[in-house]
Amino acid sequence: MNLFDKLGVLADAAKYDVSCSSSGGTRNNKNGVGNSHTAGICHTWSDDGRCVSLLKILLSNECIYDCVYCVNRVSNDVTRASFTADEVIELTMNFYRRNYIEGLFLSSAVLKNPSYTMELMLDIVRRLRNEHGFYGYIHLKGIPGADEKLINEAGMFVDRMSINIELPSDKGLEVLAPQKPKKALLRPMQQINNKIIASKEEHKTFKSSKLFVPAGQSTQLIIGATPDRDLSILKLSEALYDNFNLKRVYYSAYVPTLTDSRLPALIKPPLLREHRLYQADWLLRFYGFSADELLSKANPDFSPELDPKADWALRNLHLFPIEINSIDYEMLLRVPGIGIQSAKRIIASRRVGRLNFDNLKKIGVVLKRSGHFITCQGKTYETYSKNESVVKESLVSSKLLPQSKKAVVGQMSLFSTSNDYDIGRNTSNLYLFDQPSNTKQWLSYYDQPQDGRLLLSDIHL
Amino acid sequence: MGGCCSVIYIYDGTWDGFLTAVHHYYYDRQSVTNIESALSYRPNLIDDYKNIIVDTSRAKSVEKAILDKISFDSLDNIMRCFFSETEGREMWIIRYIKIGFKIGSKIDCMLGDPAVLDVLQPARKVKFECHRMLGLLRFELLESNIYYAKIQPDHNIITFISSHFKERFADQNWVIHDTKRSLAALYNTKRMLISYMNLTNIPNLHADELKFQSLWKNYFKHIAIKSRFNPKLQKQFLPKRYWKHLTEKT
Repeated sequence: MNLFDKLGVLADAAKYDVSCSSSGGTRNNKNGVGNSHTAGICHTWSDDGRCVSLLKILLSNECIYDCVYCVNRVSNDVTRASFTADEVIELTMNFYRRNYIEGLFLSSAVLKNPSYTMELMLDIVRRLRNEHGFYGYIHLKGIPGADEKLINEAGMFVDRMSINIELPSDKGLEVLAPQKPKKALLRPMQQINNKIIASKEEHKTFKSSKLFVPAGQSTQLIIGATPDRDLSILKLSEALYDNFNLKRVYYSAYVPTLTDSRLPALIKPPLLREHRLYQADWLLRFYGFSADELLSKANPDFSPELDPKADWALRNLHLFPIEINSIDYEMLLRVPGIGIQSAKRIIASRRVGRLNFDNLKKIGVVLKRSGHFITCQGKTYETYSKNESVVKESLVSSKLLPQSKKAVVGQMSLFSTSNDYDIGRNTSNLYLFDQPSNTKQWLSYYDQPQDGRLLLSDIHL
Repeated sequence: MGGCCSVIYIYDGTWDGFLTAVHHYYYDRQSVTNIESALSYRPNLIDDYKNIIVDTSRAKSVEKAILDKISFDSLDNIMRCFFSETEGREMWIIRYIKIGFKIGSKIDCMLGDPAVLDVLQPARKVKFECHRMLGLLRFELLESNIYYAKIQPDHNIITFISSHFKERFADQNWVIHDTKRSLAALYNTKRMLISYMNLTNIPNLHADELKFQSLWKNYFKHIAIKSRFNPKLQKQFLPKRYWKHLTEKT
């Protein structure tokens, strides 16, 4: 099979892994090519609206396992292919140099046995770093069951590592992935976490020591392939964040690629449910909520019409309204219609003066949603109501209403822009030169002796 | 035209030119009704206008005054607002500076104030487009081993984004060419130059270029999940005006 077709097969095989983030890296370019961008960079968006940041491929889809939910399971009739190390490196380097990608996300089916697979993957990342001077982002999938030493060594070359739990309960794993007990998945996650902590400690004493998996580890849970409720999924995420310090838990709406009596007969992937879980995940990580505040045994699933924060606020109307000019940051974050950015802006603005509703609107607060929950200098907003059904109406997701021009269900982003630009040091280079009389000479810039003698004044075309 | 009291300043369209105009604004003791770029100004017979000659030392002193009397953040926002090329930005910046000189770095907290937002909002748009362009810019390898990227951003962002590419692609020859403004950043693995220039006679594509373009297009096609197709969401992140320079969208 040629490289073109292989890339098609092994991208197809990798695309159900939703992680594509390139954030959290700290690598600098040391006489090679590439570096990390703290906030991560999206390079394009595929036709399903998902961000493409990394070249996400499997090394091979020739799997010995037979996990029922997985498109690559051994008993499934799909085209099989494997890359050579050189092919992966060629694709990564050439895509990177053209600015198509932030780096590589390499995963693999289990080829022969876990350690064999891990060794092949380790070889690729080692060569990218050592032979090709590549400092771009690398996200490597850890293969559960692979020799601990291999995972430890690979962690020294990559930015992020992940082991996918996929099925959110033991019961689910037992039925759908009998070869992968949850313990076998959690053990390497624990091991990676311990390594990360140890290497950070060492780094404090020896600044020159290399960091192990500096951008942390992540995992993925499939939503809708098992009968697990949102509550148990969110509790699992919470435990993973608390115990393993995971950077991200990804949720992947189960896409019915196979039919099997053990799987639910879905027609469409449960995208709204996935979206609600992501919203709740954000509430756990950035808004100070706990899983028990959002869901309970009596109420174990998210409402399709209300987002989790609005739902919480509606159940806790007795806590509101709050005064914008005096309430603390933690409570500000709990008001529907106020996000992290608005909350920070409110706190900053309060230092220099008292805010009114007009200021809030300018700051970016959505008053249609927050109007029922706040006061400004003691006054309530014009649409304010205590009536629960009126409040609810203003909170129902506009996304679900017909003819809405609002944002569509999909990816969330925390910050729309990043703030880490240096002020342009080169601005003074930007003079208005006279129209060059001979524009044919610009190419000579690249033939100049590269000893640093070239000066700006040499380029008066 | 005999206007004794008010005048319009015309500067050359550059940052230093604008700062020089700001300096004049403070020291000429003249009533100034507007500051406009020579690139967009159409003179008429009614207004009096004065040509501002770029003076880097005056420009630097204004930059320093903003840094000392207001803040680093304010200078950053003013600069981004300037490069947004939004019509009317010059007088917004003047108004911002006036407030800033009075109250200092407190101005960075006045996030609900209309006069401050006149500068902040264009600045945020520039910041947003800068970040977006770090991802959307596409290089093509040319015969002479130069990576060439054509861009047509909404705002004049080439100065803000070039340093990122200089660091990342330190071992490559590259050109970023803003064809909308005839601006280019050239980098030859040692030095970077940003200047207004018309680049003609651009070399042909390298023999391998089309191979990697088609591999990338193939990857892009395969990475989408068919049962999740969502062109509306895609367009929300990736507005159509950027498509013509995207390898995977052409």
